[in-house]
Amino acid sequence: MRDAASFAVLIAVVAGFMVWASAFSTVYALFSLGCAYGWETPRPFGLPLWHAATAAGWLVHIIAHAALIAWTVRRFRARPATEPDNRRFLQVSAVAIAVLGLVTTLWTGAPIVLLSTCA
Amino acid sequence: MSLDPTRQRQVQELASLWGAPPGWRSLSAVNHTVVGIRFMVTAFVFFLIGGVLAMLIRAQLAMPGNDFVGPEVYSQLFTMHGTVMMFLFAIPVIEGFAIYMLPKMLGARDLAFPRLSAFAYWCYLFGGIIVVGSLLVGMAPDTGWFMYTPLSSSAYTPGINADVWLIGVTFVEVSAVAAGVEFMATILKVRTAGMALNRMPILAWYLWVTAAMMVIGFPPLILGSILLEIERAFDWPFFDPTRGGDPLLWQHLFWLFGHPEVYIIFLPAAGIISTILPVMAGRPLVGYTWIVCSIVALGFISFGLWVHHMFTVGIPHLALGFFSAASLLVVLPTSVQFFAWLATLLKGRPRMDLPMLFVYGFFFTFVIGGLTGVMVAVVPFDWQVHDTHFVVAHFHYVLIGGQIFPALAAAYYWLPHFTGRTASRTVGVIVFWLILVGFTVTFLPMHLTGLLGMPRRVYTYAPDVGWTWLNLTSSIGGFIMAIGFALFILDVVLQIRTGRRTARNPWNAETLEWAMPLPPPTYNIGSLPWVKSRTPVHDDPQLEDDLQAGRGLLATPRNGWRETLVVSMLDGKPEQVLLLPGPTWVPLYTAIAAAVFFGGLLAKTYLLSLLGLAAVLVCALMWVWDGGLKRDPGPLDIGCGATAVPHPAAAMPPSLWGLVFLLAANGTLFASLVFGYLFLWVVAPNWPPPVFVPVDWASPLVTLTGLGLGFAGVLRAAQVNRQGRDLGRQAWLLLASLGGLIAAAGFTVVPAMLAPPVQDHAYAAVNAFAGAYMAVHAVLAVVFTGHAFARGRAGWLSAVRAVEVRAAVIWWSYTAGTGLVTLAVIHLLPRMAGS
Repeated sequence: MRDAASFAVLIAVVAGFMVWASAFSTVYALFSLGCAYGWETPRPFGLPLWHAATAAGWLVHIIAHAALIAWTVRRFRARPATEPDNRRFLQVSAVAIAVLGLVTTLWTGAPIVLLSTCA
Repeated sequence: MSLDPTRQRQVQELASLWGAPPGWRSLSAVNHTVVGIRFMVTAFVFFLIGGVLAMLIRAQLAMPGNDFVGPEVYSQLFTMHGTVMMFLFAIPVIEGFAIYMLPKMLGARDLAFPRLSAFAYWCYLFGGIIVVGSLLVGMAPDTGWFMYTPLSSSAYTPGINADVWLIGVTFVEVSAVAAGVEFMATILKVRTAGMALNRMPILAWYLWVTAAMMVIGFPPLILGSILLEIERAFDWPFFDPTRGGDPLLWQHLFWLFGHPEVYIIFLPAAGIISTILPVMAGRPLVGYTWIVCSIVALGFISFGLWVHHMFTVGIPHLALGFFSAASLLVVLPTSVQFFAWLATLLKGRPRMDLPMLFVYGFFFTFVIGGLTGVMVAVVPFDWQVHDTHFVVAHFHYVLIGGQIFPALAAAYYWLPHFTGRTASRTVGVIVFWLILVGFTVTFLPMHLTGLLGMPRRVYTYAPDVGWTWLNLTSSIGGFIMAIGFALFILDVVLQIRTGRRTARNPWNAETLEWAMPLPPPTYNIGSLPWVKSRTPVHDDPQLEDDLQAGRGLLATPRNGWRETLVVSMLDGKPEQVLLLPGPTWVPLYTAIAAAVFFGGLLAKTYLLSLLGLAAVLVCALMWVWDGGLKRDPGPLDIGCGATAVPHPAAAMPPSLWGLVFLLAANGTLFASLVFGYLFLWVVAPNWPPPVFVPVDWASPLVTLTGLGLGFAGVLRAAQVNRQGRDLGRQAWLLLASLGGLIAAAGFTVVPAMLAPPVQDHAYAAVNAFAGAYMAVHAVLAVVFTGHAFARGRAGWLSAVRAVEVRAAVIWWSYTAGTGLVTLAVIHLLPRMAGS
C-alpha cells in the first residue's frame, strides 16, 4: 500500500476525534459570534438565533458522527490489506474512536441544552 | 558470545562507522545515543537549577514577613522556577529520552533525521543558556511563567526581562518542534521489519501522540511570543485594548499551548509506566488496543481544555460549560489506562524491585493530583481557589506525580541500559522514601494553605492570617525532597563508578532495547530483527546472540554507509534503506547562526539578526545539499532474501514526511493567526478600526498570478521529471521560482497599502503580519524550487531520484493554500463586513 493511502487509514482511525474537534470549534465559534453580534431574531423553535445556530452546529456534528461510525464499521471489515491481527487492531481502534468521538461531542456540547444565556 | 573472525571484522566496521569522533570533535556527533544522553544530562542540570530556585522560594515563604529576598527577586524566582521546569526540563528530558530510546525500541540504528536531533539539542542548549543566564545578571523574566499581558508589555516591564523569556523560550521551542517532527516520522517509517502498528511497543504509541501534540501544540505559543515581542519592540498593538488589541488573545494563545503541554509531559510518563509495569508484573500489558485508543482520546481532548485556565476572566457561562465538560471528560481515558495497569498487576505477580517502588509512588501521587484536577474543572470551585496555593498544590501533584515519579522509575529501570551496571537497592529505597515523604509534606498541606486563601506569587504574608505553620511544613518537606534528589545523584554516580556489571536483560523485559549488548554499542544492534510479535525478546531468548552474529537484516556494512530500514507504515514491510549522515558540524553551525539571530533580537541590533538569518539559510542549504545519489540505484540486498531501494530513489522517503509534519506545525501557527485576527475582530474593544485596507484589486490579482504560476510550475516540473525530461523540469522550476518572487512582492505590498500605520490599530498590525508571513513563505518557495533547480543542474535528480522536486511541490501546496486564505482574509473580509 502506498504511503499516502496508509496515512489516510491512520486518519480514518482517528476520524472520530477529528469530527469532535470540528464540533467543538464550530459550537464555540457560533456561540461567540452569535452573542457578540446579538443574534436574537428570528427565533426558530422559540430559541434565540444564536442558541439555535449553536444547537444546529452541534446536531449536524452528531449526525456526522453517526455516519462515521457506520462507515468505519463497514470500511474496516475487509480493509486495509494487512495481516489479520493488524487489521483487527485497526478495526477495533477505528470503531472505538468513532464511538468515543460521538460520546465526547454529546458530553462537551451538553451545556447547550442546559444553559440559554450569553452572559 | 564469541563471533567468528569475519563477523568480528564486520562488527568492528559497524562500530567505527557509527561511532563519534574523539575529543572536542565529538561535538559534531549526530548519533542518537550521544545526542539523547546530552539532552537528558542537560535537562537534569536545568532541573537542579529549577530545584535550587524552588528551595529559595520555600526559604522565603517559610516564615511570615521574611526578608530573605525582596518582591523583585521573588518575582524572578517563581517565574524562572516555572519556566526552567516546564521549558528546560520537563519537555527536553522527554525529548532526550525518546531520542535515546526510540530507535533501540523500534529495532533501528538511528532516528530518521540525526542531524535534526543534533540541531534540536544545540537550540535547546543555547536557548536555555539565554534564559538561565539572565538570572546571573539580574535580568531574569519576572512576570510569571505564562507572561500575561499587559504586565509583560513594555509599559509595565520596560527592561529586557520579558524579552529574555520570549526570545529564549521560542529558541527552545524550535528545538521541541524539531524533535516532534523527528519522532513522528521515525515512528511511522523507521522501524524494523515486521513491526506492524499493532506490534509496536506501547511506548512508541505514547511518543507518537506526544510528538503530534508537540507539533500542533507549540506553534500557538510561538506565534504569541512573536506577536508580543513585536509589540514590545515595535509597538504593534496586538494586545493593547486601547488600540484594538486584547490581552485575552495572549491568554488564549498561551493556554492553547499550555494545557496540551500538561499532557505532553504526562503521556510519555504514562508510556513509561505502561512499559515497566508489565515487566515488573511478569505478564503482558492488559488492554493494549484500549490503551492506544485512550492515548489518542487524551491527545485530542487535551486541546479542548485550555479555557479552564481562564475561568475567571469573564468568558460567558455557556462557553465555560463547554470547557468544564471537556475538562471533566479527560478523566475517562486516563482511567482506562489506570484500570489496564491495575488489571495487569492483578493478573501478574508483581515484583517489588526499585522501579516498581516509583511506579507505586506515581499511583499514589498522581491519583490525588487527578482528583483535585476534577475539582478545579468545576467552575464554581475554580472561582474559589483560582490563583491560590490550592492550584499550586494541584499542579505539583500532577506534574511531579505524573512525570518525576515515572522518570525516576525509568531511571532505575533503564540505568543498567545506559551504564551496563546495576543500582544499589538500599540507596534507591532511601531515595524513594525521602522524595515521597518530602513531596507529600511539601504539597499536601499546600491544598489547605490555598483553601485558607493564600494567593500565588506573593513574596510574603502577615503572621496573623493562619498560614505560618502550613508554609513552614511545606518548606521543611521541600528540603527533605531536595535531600532525596541529592542522594539520587549520588546513587547514579556510585552506580556508574562502582556498580556490578549487569546481567543481559536484567528485568526479563520484552522489548528490543534489551536485545543488544549493555551498554549499547554505537550501532545499537548487529543486525535488525524481523519481528513476529509485540514481545520479540520474550519470544526468542537467543535473539541478541542471533542479531549480533549477523542473522538478521542489514548485518553487513557496505560502501561506508550508515544504513537502517524504512518500512511500510501499517504493516512494517521493508521498503527502503535509509542512508544516514555521519558526524557533521552543520547542525551546530546552524544553531549558532540561529543564536546570532535570536541574540540580535534580544540586543535590539536587528542588522545582526538579519545576518544571523542569512547564515541560517546558508547553513540550511549546506545541510540539504549533502546526501543523495548521482546514479539511479537498483534494489539493495538487505538480508534474509529481501531487498529494498535506497531512500533517495524512493517515492516518499522519511524526509518528505518530515516536511509534511513540519508544515502541519506551520499550519497550526497560521490557523492560530487567523483565529487571532477573528478573535480581535469579534471580541476586542475599539473595533471596527478607523480605516480598512482600501479596495484595490490590482495587488491581490498580481499576488494570485504569482501563486498560480509558482504552484502550476512546480506541479508541471514534477510531471515532466517523471517523464525523464530534464530540460523541461529545469525550465518549469525556473518559472515556478519567478512565480514565487511575484507572490512575495505582492504580499510585501500589503503593509505598504495599510492606512493607518501599523502602530495605530491591531487590525493594521495583524494584516501587516499576515502579509509578511506569506511573503516569507513565497521567498522560501523560491528557495525550494531554486534548490531543486540547482540539484538538477548538478546531476542529483532523475525520474527516479526526485525528492527535491517533490519537496518543492509540498512546500508550494502549503504556500498556495495559505496564500489564498490570507488574500481572502485581507481583502474579502472587510468587504463582507460592509466596509
